[in-house]
Amino acid sequence: MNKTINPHPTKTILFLISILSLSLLLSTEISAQNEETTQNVVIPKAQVSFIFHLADKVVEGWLAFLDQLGKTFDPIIRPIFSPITKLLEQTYQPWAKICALGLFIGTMIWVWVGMPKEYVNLGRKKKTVWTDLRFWTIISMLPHIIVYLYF
Amino acid sequence: MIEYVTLHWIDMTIIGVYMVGCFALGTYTSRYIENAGDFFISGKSLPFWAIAFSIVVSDIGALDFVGVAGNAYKYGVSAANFDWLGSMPAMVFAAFIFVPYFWRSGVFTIPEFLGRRYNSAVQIINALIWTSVMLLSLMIMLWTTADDLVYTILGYKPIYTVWIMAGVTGFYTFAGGLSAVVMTDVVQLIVMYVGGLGLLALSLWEVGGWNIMRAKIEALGPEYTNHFTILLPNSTENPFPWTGIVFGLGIVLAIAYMSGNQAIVHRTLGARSEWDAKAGMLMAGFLKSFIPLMVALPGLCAIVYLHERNLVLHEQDKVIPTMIRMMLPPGLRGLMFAALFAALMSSISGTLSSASTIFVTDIFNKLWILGKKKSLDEKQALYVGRGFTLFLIISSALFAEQISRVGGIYNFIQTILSLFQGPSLAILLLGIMWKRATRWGGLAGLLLGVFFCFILWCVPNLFPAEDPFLFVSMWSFVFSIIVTVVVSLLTPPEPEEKIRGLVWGSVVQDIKAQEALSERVQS
Repeated sequence: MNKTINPHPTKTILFLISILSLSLLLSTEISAQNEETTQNVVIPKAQVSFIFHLADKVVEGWLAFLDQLGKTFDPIIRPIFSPITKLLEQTYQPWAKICALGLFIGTMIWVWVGMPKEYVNLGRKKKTVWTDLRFWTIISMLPHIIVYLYF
Repeated sequence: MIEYVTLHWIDMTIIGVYMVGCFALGTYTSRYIENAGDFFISGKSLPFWAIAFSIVVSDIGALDFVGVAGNAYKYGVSAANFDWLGSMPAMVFAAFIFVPYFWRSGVFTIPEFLGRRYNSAVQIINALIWTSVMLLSLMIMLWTTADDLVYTILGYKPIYTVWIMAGVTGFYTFAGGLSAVVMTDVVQLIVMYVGGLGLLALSLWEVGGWNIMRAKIEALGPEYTNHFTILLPNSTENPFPWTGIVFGLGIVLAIAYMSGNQAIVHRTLGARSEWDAKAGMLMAGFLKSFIPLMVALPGLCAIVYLHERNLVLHEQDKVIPTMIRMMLPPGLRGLMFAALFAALMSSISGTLSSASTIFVTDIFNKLWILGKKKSLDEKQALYVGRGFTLFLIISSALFAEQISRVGGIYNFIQTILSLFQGPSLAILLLGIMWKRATRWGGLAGLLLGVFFCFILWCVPNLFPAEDPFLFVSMWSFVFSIIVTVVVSLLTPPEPEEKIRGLVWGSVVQDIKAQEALSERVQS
């Protein structure tokens, strides 16, 4: 990091404070308008803000598009995924635990055996056991393995 | 009548000292900011511990405290999967595969890396999606925390909370960039851990310890049978079936999040060495494993605590507010609120910093080059970065309420994000691991993968879960891999000099590739 002092900190701070104060005033005004709207008079949303009415319409259109998309592709997609879903539904323990623990233990083995030690620790200043990231991996993984064995 | 919590002067003092401290520390770092490199990636000077603290605290928002505790109250320990199986293996992959490449190539953002590896179209699509998602998330994060948490518990008007939070975090992020974000994150993590572990200790004390709590919950009836089962069977009734957790979350979504999310990876790009970048990611994974203790276990304790007082909560998100109101004494209550504010502020500042980096590097600079035929210089990039940070925080605070109230917008963002993660990971992984992946393969994999996600999402009851995002991300990843491979094989390979230093094998052994990387960084 370059240790150079910002030459105009006071100007920056004053500029920011004035912008934030202006924005706070603006938003309080909007908030007050909204409260008045909900408490006293019921005004249709479109009159409150055209932009947000438009946003509502975009979301509605989006949902209609997704609905149509689902109906169109259902006959093609379902025959592919239904057998897989059925197979997965029938599979539970001990496979669930084996797969979860396998992910942790497999990752540990991959770091220890699958990767060159030089690559794992590239850039370290001191070559000590404490700075060996392979040990860090083991230490970080162990609490998780204990948790998944316990639950 | 709604019963609000009244803060004692000790609580107010703790919160006040915390806020002023963060503000002062964040602003202090501005004196070290001279150019874009200092602002966006801390001049590559961050040590591993600061990176680790910052990743953890940026990843946990105030609403996670509320949401995860609520899920644990309703579904049990399976809610903790997102911080255990959904973090550590993915962070190891990120540390040893993705982070070294991003760090070595000297990029500021992930879209920039994708742009170098594939083409500008991939870079801009990726950047636009991330910037939009970050802006909307910022608004929703601000408003929902102010409304659902602070207003529900304390009765303070949400608009004031929004502006105080936006003002403090916006100011120090504007002034100090990534350095300010990381330095305040270090303090915020300590505050968050002290507050969170305080709540945990008191909760366990009140219910008589772990073993008694477990026995009491299991004795409550059949609906609590699975509360101590971390991997739940496949069923549409529970939201986290084990196949979705292991394959969708553990293998795809978590890796995509930890490796492809600018808000997470951003800190490692500012590391002072490659070792610090990797070590920071690993240490963050270790620290993250304690998060469920602070956010999920109080949810379990609440079952016993409330049951013994004949109270039943129909809304699971009321668990943390109720526990704070009923259980915490003055002092600890202030600490807990400081912890919640820390979680919110770190998420805001992290998002702000990452969004402005992406905007300047991948969108504004591209447009600037189109118009002026040259890149932004360091000073210009710094001014634009600060300007966009200011614009982001002010517009977020101004429109937070309105955007949060538009029906379906939150689900819309979450859907977009989950649709995007699988295909993004696919092209990122192939881009690094397979030198035959071409620009057209990457573009087709990204676009068709996202389209495939829409299809999977829209066909009803295709997967054994009510909310199938875990399965959608898993299958879209597989689909994008296939599309990218097929299209790449059908199109001409990329020139050797373009991909030198950006692909796995060429970097580990090839000295020329290492030199090419150094040249890229210097240029």
